[in-house]
Amino acid sequence: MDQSTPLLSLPPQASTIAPAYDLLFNSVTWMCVFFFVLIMGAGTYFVVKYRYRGGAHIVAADHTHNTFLEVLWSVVPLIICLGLFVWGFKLYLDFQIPPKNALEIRVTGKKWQWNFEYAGGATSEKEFAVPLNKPVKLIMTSTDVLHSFFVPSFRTKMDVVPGRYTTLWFQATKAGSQQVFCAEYCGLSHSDMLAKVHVLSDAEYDDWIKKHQEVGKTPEERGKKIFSGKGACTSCHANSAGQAMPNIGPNLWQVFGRVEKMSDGSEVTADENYLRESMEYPSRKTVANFAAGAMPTQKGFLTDQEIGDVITYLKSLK
Amino acid sequence: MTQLTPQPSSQHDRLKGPSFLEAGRGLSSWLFTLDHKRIGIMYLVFVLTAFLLGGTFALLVRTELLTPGRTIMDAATYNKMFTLHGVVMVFLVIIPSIPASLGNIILPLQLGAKDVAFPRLNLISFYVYLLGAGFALYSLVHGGVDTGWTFYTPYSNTTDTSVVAMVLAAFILGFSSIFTGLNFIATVHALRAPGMTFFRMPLFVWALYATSVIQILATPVLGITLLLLVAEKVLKVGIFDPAMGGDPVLFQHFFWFYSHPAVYIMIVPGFGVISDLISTFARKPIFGYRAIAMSSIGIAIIGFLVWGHHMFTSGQSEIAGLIFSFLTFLVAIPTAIKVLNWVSTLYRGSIVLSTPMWFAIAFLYLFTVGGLTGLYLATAGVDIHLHDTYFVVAHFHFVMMGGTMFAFLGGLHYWWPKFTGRLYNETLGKIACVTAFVGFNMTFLSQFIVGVQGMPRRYYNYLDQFQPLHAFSSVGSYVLGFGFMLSAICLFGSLRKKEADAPANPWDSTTLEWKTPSPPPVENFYEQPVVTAGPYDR
Repeated sequence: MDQSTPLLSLPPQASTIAPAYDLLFNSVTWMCVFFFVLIMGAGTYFVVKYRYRGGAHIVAADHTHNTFLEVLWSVVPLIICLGLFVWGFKLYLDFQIPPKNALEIRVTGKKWQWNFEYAGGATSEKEFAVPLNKPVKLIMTSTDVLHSFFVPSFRTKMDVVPGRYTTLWFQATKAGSQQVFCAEYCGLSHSDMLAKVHVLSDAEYDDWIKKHQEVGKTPEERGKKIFSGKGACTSCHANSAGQAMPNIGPNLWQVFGRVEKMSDGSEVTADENYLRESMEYPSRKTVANFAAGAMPTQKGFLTDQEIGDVITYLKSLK
Repeated sequence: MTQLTPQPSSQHDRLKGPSFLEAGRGLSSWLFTLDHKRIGIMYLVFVLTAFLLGGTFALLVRTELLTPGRTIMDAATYNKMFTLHGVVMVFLVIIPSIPASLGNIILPLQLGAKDVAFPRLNLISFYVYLLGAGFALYSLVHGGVDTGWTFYTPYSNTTDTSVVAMVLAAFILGFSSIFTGLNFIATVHALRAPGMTFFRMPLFVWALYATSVIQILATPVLGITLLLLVAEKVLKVGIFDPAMGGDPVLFQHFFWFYSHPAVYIMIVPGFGVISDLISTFARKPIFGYRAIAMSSIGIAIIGFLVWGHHMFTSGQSEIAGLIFSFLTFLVAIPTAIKVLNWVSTLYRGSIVLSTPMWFAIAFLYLFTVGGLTGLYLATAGVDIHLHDTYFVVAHFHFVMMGGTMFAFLGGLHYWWPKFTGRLYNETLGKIACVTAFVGFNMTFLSQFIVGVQGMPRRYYNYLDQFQPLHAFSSVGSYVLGFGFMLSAICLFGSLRKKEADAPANPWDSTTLEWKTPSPPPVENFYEQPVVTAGPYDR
């Protein structure tokens, strides 16, 4: 693991914006330490010095206000705050506005997996690659609930919202792999919705793209790729004999032709139409002992072709 | 010095009537009481019970986080635990803690009034609170909720946990706090004792007044938002869910339009308590009385306009980021003014370190850390990395727990002899305060560090590199819990005394509630007090 972070410090810097971020962060820290020591140092000193030691209470009863002091400590914090505001907002704009020539990668958040799609049609899941020292712009959306794309060593984060696109950009300055987290709570496996970003040299990056462009030739191979990739079915469904986890949805090993007992007591044979219905309208018939509504609809997300490919793959699980 | 018509010579003047605790016995004398002090005590009992419940959830969460992966519970249970911890602490503990319990008991006394303006409304607000708590309890035993206390859509729309009941609980609890707010505003305007001008009111009253204004203006927005959420979930009307044509970010705007002012509903009463405590135990008039009073009002107004700072990474426009960051810095100023005024009050005072003052000093340390770390989050660019990490968790616990709850405990220890008539063991009280202070810092300072390193919040599982700090934080939470247990033993232990032993004014305070016996009579004062000087003049 390349991220052994020392105590009391930010993660390693791995993007162009990280040094600028750290400078402002550390400035705020020192300012806070200074004012904490000043204010609470004075407070502590007063408590010790003026504590009651018996006898009559001697106090400066007329010490009830001081216009100069009160104006001073309203104006000084105001000036500091305005300074922080301007500096912080400039940094914020740097985060928000990507360079025009940025390489675009599409990102889809889906419970509980990150999927990536590159300009040439290559795809990857749970990991993606970017070229070193080149600006990259992620165009992100979600198929279900809110997620948030967070790369601590790049210091950047952006929510991923269903029904709209948000963008996040960075320029990686360090070869190697960095950790990606989902930072917006998204349910059961939120904390396992992780990914890696691999920062590669140009040649390595081209290789990566080629490798991930090999689309399966048969429907079964395509279905298998969707099952673990775009569809993220493996987040909830096991797909081999005796595999216990994940068990959020039924194990799909030998699912085709199986007679399933439904939560309303009826029995359904898992044929092509039932499998299709389960993908498009998952709440209509739920297998007994599994939570209704746990599965998000794939309608509008997977094409007819892709649903067919997945069904072909499910038939092959025997 | 506040001048009064002659005080009763003996504290319990049997000829003039019993204390409110002895006037009427049996359960029904409590359940149907219109006495603000009794209603306040009933609130107190339920707030403390809810605090125990919310605290238990917190300790379970911390125990689970001792190790990555499963420690004592599965992910689904964990998600419910942190949600219930948040919901219980926010809606059942912190919001009603100071206003509805201590405020109810003390506000009319400090004003020299016989009761609040609308005693029946006061009792209704208590039963509405119970009804809300009942819905929360129903939700808890019927599957719980796993959305986080923020109920963000569309997740809250898709989960099959008991969201509707919990959302209705928050909706109903909102009415309870609106009723209390209305009552306090009317009481302050109508029932001040002769001679008590606005600028002779104790700062605790000022703080409750500012809080009440926020409560009645902001809470309806939460109510509407939560009803829209229920309408969407039950009636399938598309409002927030993009699958039905809604907008999930709209929910965040609505939610924080209430919930950021709500942060001030939670902390401003604490400011009031601390102002009273510091002036009392420094034996000195508060420094900058008008500045403190006005800064409460300033916070109440600006606090309405900063909600978007919860959404710097939500995809909102840059111009929105600009405005919200700017206004957030503005609201920092009145807060800074208060802290500096408190510290200045200590200067050349005669500081008596009684138990309530220990809590007040602990508050000063913790709240100052909470306030300063807010500057990181107000700085829009810096917030990007820290948003939704443990840094934010630590920040708001420093404000809500280190701030509000320490102020609440300070106030509880301060006014305890007044409304129970019992003195408690001060040595134990101070040990409890120090234990809680140490445990608190262990728990949450470590969370600042782990947050800066990039640990996201609401994580069941986490990377191994975060484990030492998580374990340290969990151990700290046990110390913190132990400290609060000691406080409970200290306070409730005093109730075993059969006879009231607290003098009318055990702390040598100046405000009106100390000019009447402990515990006070039903009518609060045997004779109508008349005010001729400021609240802290000696």
